[in-house]
Amino acid sequence: MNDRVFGVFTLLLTFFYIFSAYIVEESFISDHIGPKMYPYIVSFFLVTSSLFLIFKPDIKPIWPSFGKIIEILMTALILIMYAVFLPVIGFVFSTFFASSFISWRLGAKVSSAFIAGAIISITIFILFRKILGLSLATGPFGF
Amino acid sequence: METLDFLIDGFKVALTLENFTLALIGCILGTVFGALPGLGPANGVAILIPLSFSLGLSAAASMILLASVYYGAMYGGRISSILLNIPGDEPAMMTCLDGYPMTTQGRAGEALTLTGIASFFGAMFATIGLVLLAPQLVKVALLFGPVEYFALFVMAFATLGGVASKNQSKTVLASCLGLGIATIGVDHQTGVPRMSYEIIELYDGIDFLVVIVGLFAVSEVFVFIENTNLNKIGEEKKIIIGNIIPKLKTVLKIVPAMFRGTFLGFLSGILPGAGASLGSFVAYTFEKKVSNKDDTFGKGDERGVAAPEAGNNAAAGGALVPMLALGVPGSGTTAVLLAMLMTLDVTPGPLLFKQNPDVVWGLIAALFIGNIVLLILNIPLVKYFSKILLIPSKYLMPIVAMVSFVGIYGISGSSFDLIIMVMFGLLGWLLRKLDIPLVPVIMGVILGEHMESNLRRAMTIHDGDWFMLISSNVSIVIWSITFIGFVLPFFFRKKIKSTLVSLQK
Repeated sequence: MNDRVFGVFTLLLTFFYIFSAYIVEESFISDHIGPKMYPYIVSFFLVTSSLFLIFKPDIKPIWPSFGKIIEILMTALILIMYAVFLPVIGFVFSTFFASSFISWRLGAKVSSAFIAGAIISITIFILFRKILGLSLATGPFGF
Repeated sequence: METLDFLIDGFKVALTLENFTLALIGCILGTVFGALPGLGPANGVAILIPLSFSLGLSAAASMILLASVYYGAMYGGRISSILLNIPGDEPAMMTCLDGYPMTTQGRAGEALTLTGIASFFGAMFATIGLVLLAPQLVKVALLFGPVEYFALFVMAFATLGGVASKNQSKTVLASCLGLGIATIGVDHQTGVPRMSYEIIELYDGIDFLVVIVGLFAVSEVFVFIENTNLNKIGEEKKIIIGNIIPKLKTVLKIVPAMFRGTFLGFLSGILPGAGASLGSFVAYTFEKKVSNKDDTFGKGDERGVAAPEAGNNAAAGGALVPMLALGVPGSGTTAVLLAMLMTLDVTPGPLLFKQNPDVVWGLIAALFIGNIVLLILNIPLVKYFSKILLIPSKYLMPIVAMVSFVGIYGISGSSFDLIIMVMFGLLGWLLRKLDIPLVPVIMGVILGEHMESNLRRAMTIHDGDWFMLISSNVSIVIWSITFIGFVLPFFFRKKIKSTLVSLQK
């Protein structure tokens, strides 16, 4: 993918955005230009700059290998799962898994990644929950 | 001398035990964030905002913490530039040019001390400049109405790409992405939901902290994963600092360079859309022009490290002027600082000086104190900080990621926000690959609401007459600067590009 593809993508996104602005139901009390005008102005500049990207693209960036892209998406998926499971299984366990995964993907051996994950998760829990009193997610075990 | 009175009150705020401790912590964390490649000032501040918010710090206390981080990062950036030839953050890029050659000559310690002095010098003068200039600017800004403010916001975006940007249309695209995201949620003027498609979570809009931490911190994790194999090469780093006390003659030699660097840096800091990176760039280029008589630059000339370091620290202080006085930030990090003020319901801009003098002057006093702390941290203790560079990223990045999650979750306690944050992390990675700058997106998200409400207020006052946007003299001046600032880079970019290329060789 390069600038052109991204330009087309933002162009489509802008059309969706314009449509979303168009269907905004105005309330009976309104200021002079209403809630639609400003999104339209932003859209104008979005369309213009997207067209520039399509017709005058820069040189293509160097993309990582297919495997790397999968790896990045996997990491994103793990982080999303982290977000979902955080309130379910509690902070310490989910943070342990997520940080071990990241550490492993950044080149640590599996064993040291698990140790790092455990240290990170417990340290953050003690520092932020016990010492600083931040509200972290509590699972069924209370941590 | 009412400024002096305010300043004394500010010192009273900054010297309470809590605030002084926060300044100290901020300075240490800032130096660390700056020193670590991949974590810059904007990143560091972004991660800490949600934390300071969930810890329930007051506005003055959080500003002191975060501004210390901001100043600290400007100091810390030089450490890895000098020792490893990898800029710790973007503003420290120019310091590599003469800093690393000094290291190869075994003068690393000397380079670190000289740059430490230069940083202190630049930051000190910039903070004095802030004290003198900001209240004057406030007097002008009090005359501004919605028309002028709207023009000012447009100016901030139009000049943002400025000389540093490679492709103006990408800056515009990035700004509008941010402005568009800011319109999601219930419209503040009329109360109707926009772009939220009956999704309850979107009615409040997307919290800009989520966007900031996602784009800056989470995307950094993806960048590191992408480059894992490349990082292995740099793993056998050796750090030898050696003697840190320079000769008095060398110190005197860099004094003129520091003065020039500070002046140019401060100036580029105040200008909208410039910031610290431009400050150090201008300072280095100018210094080279003035002092490079024996062709010593790029080969370890002391003035070549002193000028850019004085420059970027002075620019950091200068960038606070428009942020505090107008509420219109000129750089990424000041935009993030502004975001924090807004999260705490403190209205930035001229009214800040009237309504919350403790925040403004406490902050300024804390910057003076922080500077002295930073000088101590960064010269005698620099070898301990340089050890931090030895922490491999495979253990560091998980910490960064998890602390980001903790901060955001601490505010909202919602998984939805975290998922959005990961999405923005991916978006940030994609934008970086495409060379689309992230700072305009952030600024758009932060300033969008104010920009729109000023436009609409202006239209309501003037009965929808669009020509009233260019009615007052002040607004005409601002629009002209906007136009020039947007168009000028088209003509100058080629020249700057070639200078950059020749410098890197």
